Amino acid sequence: MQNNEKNNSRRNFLKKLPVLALGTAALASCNSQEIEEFLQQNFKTLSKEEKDEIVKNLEKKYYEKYGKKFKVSDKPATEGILFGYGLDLSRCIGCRRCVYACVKENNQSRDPQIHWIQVLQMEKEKGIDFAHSTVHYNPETVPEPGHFYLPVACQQCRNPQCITVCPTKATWQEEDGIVVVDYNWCIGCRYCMAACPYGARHFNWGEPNIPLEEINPETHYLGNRPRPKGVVEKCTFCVQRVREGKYPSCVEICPVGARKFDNLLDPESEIRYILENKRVLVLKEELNTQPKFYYFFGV
Amino acid sequence: MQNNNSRRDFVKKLTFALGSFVALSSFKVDKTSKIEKQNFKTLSKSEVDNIIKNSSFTVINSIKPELSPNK
Repeated sequence: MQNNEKNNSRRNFLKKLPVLALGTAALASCNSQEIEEFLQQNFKTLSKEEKDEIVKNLEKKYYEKYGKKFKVSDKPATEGILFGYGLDLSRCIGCRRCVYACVKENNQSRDPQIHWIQVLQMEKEKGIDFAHSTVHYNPETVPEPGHFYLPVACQQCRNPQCITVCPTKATWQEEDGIVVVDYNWCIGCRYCMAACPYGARHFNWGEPNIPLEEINPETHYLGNRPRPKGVVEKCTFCVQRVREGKYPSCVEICPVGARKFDNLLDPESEIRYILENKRVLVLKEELNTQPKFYYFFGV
Repeated sequence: MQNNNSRRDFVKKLTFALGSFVALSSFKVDKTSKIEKQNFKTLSKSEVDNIIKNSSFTVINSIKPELSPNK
């Protein structure tokens, strides 16, 4: 009996040996940076020093990969700011300039295409009707008669269901109200995509493909830095810009001034004026997601 | 004897616990200082549809839609 046990244990050892050898070989093939990245903790839980170290490593990695000097910011939210967004439905003409400005600013993949903003064309006769809307309109000029346009991106909800379902807590809401994703912590399960009622989250099925000359090197760790394959991404209100005091790129590019962006906690802000004086609506209000993305009729 | 004592102790502690609970409840913890719900009126779906159907939006100009960036 004892002899048997001995035999078994030797057999077990021999069985485990190749696995161990393979594991060692796999680890040996990774460089120290890759191992460090694999063992990295959730960004939210890291100290300032650890964040600085990670950001430095990322800048180095991107320089090696893209041959461009990158700036990866980890600037936190500023106290007393809660970002809110306003979109004037009566002004939007569906020109899609916001979509492509967003693609360029936020290093979104060109092939396969990822668009954080989707402009839905709807018929005025039917009102807001998602079932009969289309993003694939292509007339000579816009707006087309009898139609109106509803651009949809992340609604930066106060009660975001995408966060609730994330099994790894890789997505959370920052103090300034922006819902962000730690791309190093995301496992790509896509639960958040299923939970989002606005279809605002997008999955990188392939390695994101961005022409070298078009890469934006001004990035934020939680925003527009180049994402790896197999993670979920979304609009962050251009976190890399707004935390530096700039407008999101979609607001800046809009040729008709349909987009407004400001601090909800400031009673003198433009967004508060809109909320208090214009006819405002939020999408799918009945779901109690409490978006901070407000549509309104300016005229 | 021991049983009675323990029941009495329990009741004594219960009163103390309830008293402390009430007293401590007066220290209000503000958990919603930042992302609090703003109170303003939003339009219902039917109101929105009515506005869209009945009002003619002022078209400032018509322009060509932006082309997709390089693939």
